[in-house]
Formats: sequence, C-alpha cells, structure tokens
Amino acid sequence: MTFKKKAVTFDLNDIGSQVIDQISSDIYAGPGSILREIIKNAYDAYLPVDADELEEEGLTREIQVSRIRDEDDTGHLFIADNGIGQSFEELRANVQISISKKPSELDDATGFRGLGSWAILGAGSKITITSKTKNATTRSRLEINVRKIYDKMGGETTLDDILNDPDCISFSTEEYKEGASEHGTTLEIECDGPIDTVNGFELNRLYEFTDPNEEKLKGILVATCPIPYSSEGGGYKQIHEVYNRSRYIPTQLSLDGVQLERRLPPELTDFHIHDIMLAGNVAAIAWYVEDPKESGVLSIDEGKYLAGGPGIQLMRLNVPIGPKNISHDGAARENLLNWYVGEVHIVMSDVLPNASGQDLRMGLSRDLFIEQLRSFYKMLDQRADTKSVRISLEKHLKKGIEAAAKLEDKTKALSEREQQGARSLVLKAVQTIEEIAGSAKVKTTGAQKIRDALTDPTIKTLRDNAKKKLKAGGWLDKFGKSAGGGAKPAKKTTAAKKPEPTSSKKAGAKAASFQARVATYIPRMESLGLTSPQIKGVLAIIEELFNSDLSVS
Amino acid sequence: MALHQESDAKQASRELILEACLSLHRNNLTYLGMPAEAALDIKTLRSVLQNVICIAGSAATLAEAKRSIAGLRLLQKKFRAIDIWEYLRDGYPAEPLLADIAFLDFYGGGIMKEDPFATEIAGLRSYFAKQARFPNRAFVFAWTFMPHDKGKGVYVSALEKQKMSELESSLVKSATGVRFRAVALRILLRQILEEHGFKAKVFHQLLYKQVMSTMILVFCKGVDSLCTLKLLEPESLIFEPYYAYEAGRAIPQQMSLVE
Repeated sequence: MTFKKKAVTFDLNDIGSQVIDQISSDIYAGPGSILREIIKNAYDAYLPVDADELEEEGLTREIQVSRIRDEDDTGHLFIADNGIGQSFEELRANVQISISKKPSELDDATGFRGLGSWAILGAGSKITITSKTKNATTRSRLEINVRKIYDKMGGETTLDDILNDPDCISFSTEEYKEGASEHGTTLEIECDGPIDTVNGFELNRLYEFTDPNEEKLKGILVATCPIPYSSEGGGYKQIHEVYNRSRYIPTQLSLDGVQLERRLPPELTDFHIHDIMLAGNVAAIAWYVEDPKESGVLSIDEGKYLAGGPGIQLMRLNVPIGPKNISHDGAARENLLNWYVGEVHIVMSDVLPNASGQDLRMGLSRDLFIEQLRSFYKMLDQRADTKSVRISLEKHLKKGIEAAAKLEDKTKALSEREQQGARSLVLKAVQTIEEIAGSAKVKTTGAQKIRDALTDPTIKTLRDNAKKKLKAGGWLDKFGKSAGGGAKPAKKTTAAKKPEPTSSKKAGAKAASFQARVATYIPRMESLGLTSPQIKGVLAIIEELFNSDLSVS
Repeated sequence: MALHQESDAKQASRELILEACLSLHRNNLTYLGMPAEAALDIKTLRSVLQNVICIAGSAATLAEAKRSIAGLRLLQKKFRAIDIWEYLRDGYPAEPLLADIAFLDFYGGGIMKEDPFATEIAGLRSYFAKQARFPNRAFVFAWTFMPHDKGKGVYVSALEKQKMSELESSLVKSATGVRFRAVALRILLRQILEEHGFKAKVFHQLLYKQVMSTMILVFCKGVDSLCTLKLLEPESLIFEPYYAYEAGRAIPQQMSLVE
C-alpha cells in the first residue's frame, strides 16, 4: 500500500467571500481603527518622498482629513496626501490581501499587514482611491462598491466572484497632463446614508463623522492617529529628539482645514526622557512631563492642547496604541500616572501593535516589554508620591513663615480670627520641621518619603530658613515638642512597642495621649473661626465623649 | 498642440488672478467659482484661500472637484450643482460666506441666455449688491469668456437698458469679435459698479488669439487700507488696456478698446 502524490491546485473559487468580513472585523474596533489605518498609509506615502523636493514644490508633509455633506445628505470623508502616489499596479495592490511590500521596501513604515482597502471596508458604502505619481501623465483610480460587495457576499459566493466583478471592484485611469507635477493619493469614503446592514454586514460606519459640524471626529483622531507636538509649544525640542530617535518624521494632520497639533500646557515644565531597556537594548524611549509646583491629576484643556488628556500613551512611530496608561494594573496607581503627560515610543522591532491597534500583539516580546513598561510606571508612581510629600512640606513651611511674619508685624493689627488662623499655620510649620528632623531616625515608608523629598535642595534650604525664622520669633519654643503644646502625640509605632498596660494604667495613658492630641487640634478650631467660649464648649463635649467611650470599653 | 497652448493661456489667467488676490494682502480669502474636475484654479489660488464655494451644472464635475481639492487645507468647502447665474441670483445672497474672489469661467460666451436680464444681469446685480454691503473691503472679480456664443445680438439686447456715453455707444457699434464682447461686459460692469458706489480697476485683461479672454477686476466700496492698488471711478474702465496674446510673439501686446 503506497500513496501516490496527486497534483491539486486551488484558486480564488476555493475561498469563501466572507473571508473579507473576517479580515475587516479583526481590525475594526470603532471609527478610530479605520482612520488610523488610512492615516498610517498616508504617512507611509511620504516616506519615499525627498524632503527638499517637496519644499521646492511648495508642499509640506501634511495629511488632510476633510468632510462634505451633500444637499441630499450623502456624506463624504476625504483623506488626502501629497506623498509618492501610486501607479496603476500599486493601486491594484490595495485589493491584494497580505501582499504588502512595505516592510521590506520602506524602513519605518507604520503599515505592515498588507490588508489594503479591506481594513476599512465597512466605513462607507463606496470607497474611491485616486492616485498619481510625480510626472505621470495619467492618474489611476480604484472604486470599491461596498454595498454591492455586501449584497453579493454569502455562503456560496467565492472571493473570485467579488474580486473579479467590476460592479464590485473597478479600476480606471485618466489622462491628466495639466497636473503632471502633482503627486499623492486621495481616499474618499462615501456614505450614502446612516449606518446600515446589508446581508448581515455593516456599512456606512463613518456616516456620523462625515458632517463637518460634528465634533467627535477630532477627539477620535487625537486618540488614535499620529499627531505631532507643535513646534511652538513647550518641550518641543526634547519631544522632537524622541521623534528622531524613534524614527518618526513629523507629518501634520489637518481636519477640515484646521491643523491638529498637540501642545503642552505651559505649567508642565519638569520634562524628562527615560529609556526603557530590554536585554541591554533600548526597547522604548519615554518622555514625561509634570507640573513641578502642583500635585494631583492634571486637568488639561483638550480643546486647546490636544494632548489626549493626562497619562502615559504607548506609541509606535507616533501612532497611539490603546488607551493611556495601558497595562498599568498592578504596577502603578492610575490616578498617580495621571499626574503626568507622557509618551512611550516603542523602538524595538518585534514589539508591534495588534490588528485593532488597541494593544500589543501577543507573544513573548510583548510580555517582556510590558514587564519593563510596568517598571517605568512604578517609577512614575513613586516619583509622584515623593513629589506629593515635597510639595506638602514646601507648602507648610512657606505658609508658616508667612504667617509668623504676619503675627510679628506690629504695623498691621490682625483680627482675633486672623490671629488664630496664622497661629495654626505656624504650628503646622513647626510640626513639619520636627517631622523632618524625626524622619532621619525612623524607618517607616512615610519617613523614607520625607527623606526622598529632602534630596531636593530647595526643600532643605526652605527648612533651614523656616527653622531660623520661627526660632527667632520664638515660635519653635512655643509650639515645639519641648514646649509640649503643639508637638505631635507620641509616635504610634513607639506606643505599640510598649508592653500592654493594666486596665487603669491603659485608660490613664490613653487619656494623657488623647489630651496631647486634642491640644494639637485647638488651633484648627480657632482657624475655623470658633471663639474661646465655643472652643471650651467643644472640648467639654469631646471630654464627655471620651469618658463615655472609656466606660464602654 | 493647440489645446496645450490654450491650457497655458488658462494657466496664465489663473496666475494673474492669483496676482490680483495677492494685491488684497489677505490670505484668508473665499473663492466662488466654477472649477472643472481638476479644480486647477483653486489649486493655483490655494496659498490665499480659506474657503471655497464651487458651482457646477454637473454633479459629476462637482464630485471630481471635491476629490481634487481634498488635499488642500481649506476651512469650508461648499458645492452646489446649479447654473452659476441662478446661484448668484438666488443662492448667493443668503450664503453666509462672502466671496473675496469670484471667477466666472465660461467655455462659451459671457452673455448667452435668451433673456439676459432674468439670469446673467440679475445674477451680476445680486452678486454686486451683496458685495456692496461690505464697504472698505476690496474684491477680485474675474470673467473668462469665448466668442463662440450666440452672437453679438445677445450682448446688444443685454445693453438695451444701459445708459451709455457717446464713446461707449460708438464702440458698441464699431467693435467686433472678442473686442466687442469686452466692450459690452465693461459697460455692463461699469453701470452696476456706479450704482453701488464702487471704485474699480481692470487688473488685467488678456485676449488669447482672439478666442478667449479673461478680464480680472478689483473693486471696492470705500477704501481698503490693505489693498495696494489704486482704484478709479467705474467710468474709467473702458479706457483701461487689454493685452493680446498672439502666436509667435514673445510678449503680449498692450491694446486699447477705445482706439
């Protein structure tokens, strides 16, 4: 018994037409994924174009997204570039599946899957790509009738039935001598009405966004497409350096004639660049920026800055991958990452986005990279924590100095309420000075954060200055631990180490400790505007509560 | 070859319109015109344009024009499939945009309709009436026409209600061909400009091989401090020269309509 080889060949008739839907469904993750694919192609079209030649032609590296709604409500979305353009044969490649020549012929191309027009099929009811290469006397056109394709698609229809039906897919050329020097590609998505289903397949998905008065498209482009930072904004030089190292070439993107540019709010001045390493190589280059004077989640006016909100955005060739702070879980608190604006530009060749562009492609490279990304997030988390302590120390010391100066100024009489408020601030500054001093001896996380904050020389200087001024004014003696008035209660840690007292001793210790603690709150009551008799009354209530609490226990 | 030379002349007229626009010293202009499929006039003017209003009788022409200008950075793009005169008469007065540059680019004659008062002249009046509502702002108005129209008679009937000077009347009688048409259009424009108190200047009028002419006019009511051209009373329009482009010559010949 031997098997003899038998020649069997397959053609397009052996592939069901529904494969088309499977391809586009894999990529579709909302309108952003369609636009990202198209704009990536437009970006890639500039890669082979000589920058000097472009300048001589009076052109810039720019991708125009524009919208038109006809009087009969047909919607048009255009994406146009002045890139290299496509010859007739190259245009034909838009219909081929996974036969892209981009990665081998073009370094740093953003598109690499070779899914051409299929990736965007459900976007409209008709897709028209018109393209021309420089000095060619003809331009070429590919028209895809999506409605017709979907109408025809089904279990028994083959890929051959679709690809070779000119009613579904047609090619044409036109003599174009007048504009011989022109070059580039214009892709038009025509939506003949609102989102619709034909034969179970969805089309006109972008209809809503073909209205020039619609405002969401801008936000979608900001979140999903490569938009460079403005050359006029802060941090541009450093960001440009990151672009350069990650091999992204800034290419402007405009929507309805308005250039979209990301900018950094002026208060974000503390700028850093950080290389994320993997096995001794640079896997990604990150930049992040923060407001050195404030702690907390950044509030960014998106209409003005287009930064895509606070947080860290993962990128490849400036194309955003997924939402901000992707894969932060377990490594960092998201609200702390939102104290920053930043980007992580992947440079490692085998760390690639997945089909939808919403995450990285699964595999070992991804796992290793994500581990490093999380370490970076963790560093930012800790940095935010330290900053919070630093700003808090700074605030208390500065306010204390100011309040002491007010209290000491004999030329300006303060009201009783103002005096109480100022005293409360001085007390807090005194406590802060003592807390800083104590942090050197204590091995708690809180103490460590204070020590970290003290690595900033401005805090040290401020502490010394505050100490000097408050001592000179007698405030240190008045509110310091030695005075017993304003000092913090005994450290909980120390108390916890003490042996358990007997019941009466415990109650006595508790009362003494509580009394000391209550004392520290009196200035706060004063700052709230309570008068002396009112404070006396409140203290009486607290004492009553304390005693009843002890009797219960 | 002949077609190519004509294309060169068309391109020259587009470049001249751009020059006229540059004299306004504003780079946020609104174009109103009749672009062909390739929209070469809009592409030529792109450096000064912010918005466009495109008018064409054919929806297919407009569809191509939309694609052709998709790569230009324009804020507002409007497309109307309608006869240009009907648009100027009925649509333009209600249009929120104000056309800084209007380019009537006809393959046929300037005045063609059987009842020019109902369409062409009504359209012109409507256009200039809207512009007159915006004093101290200069505009560019360009008009390309060819003599293969319905004959001199249509122009003569269009001038029926015009008040003409002796000189104008004699020119109407004596001029022929494209030159006659240029005279007729200048008289038509002179009267409308006068009615609204505009001052004007023929920035350039080219006459290409006696088959095509483009007249470019800059006009303003009051004074536009940005415009660098010296605008004159409309009665001077008839005295402004035109330039004949003839085969075999290196430079255009300056000519006068009143000779």
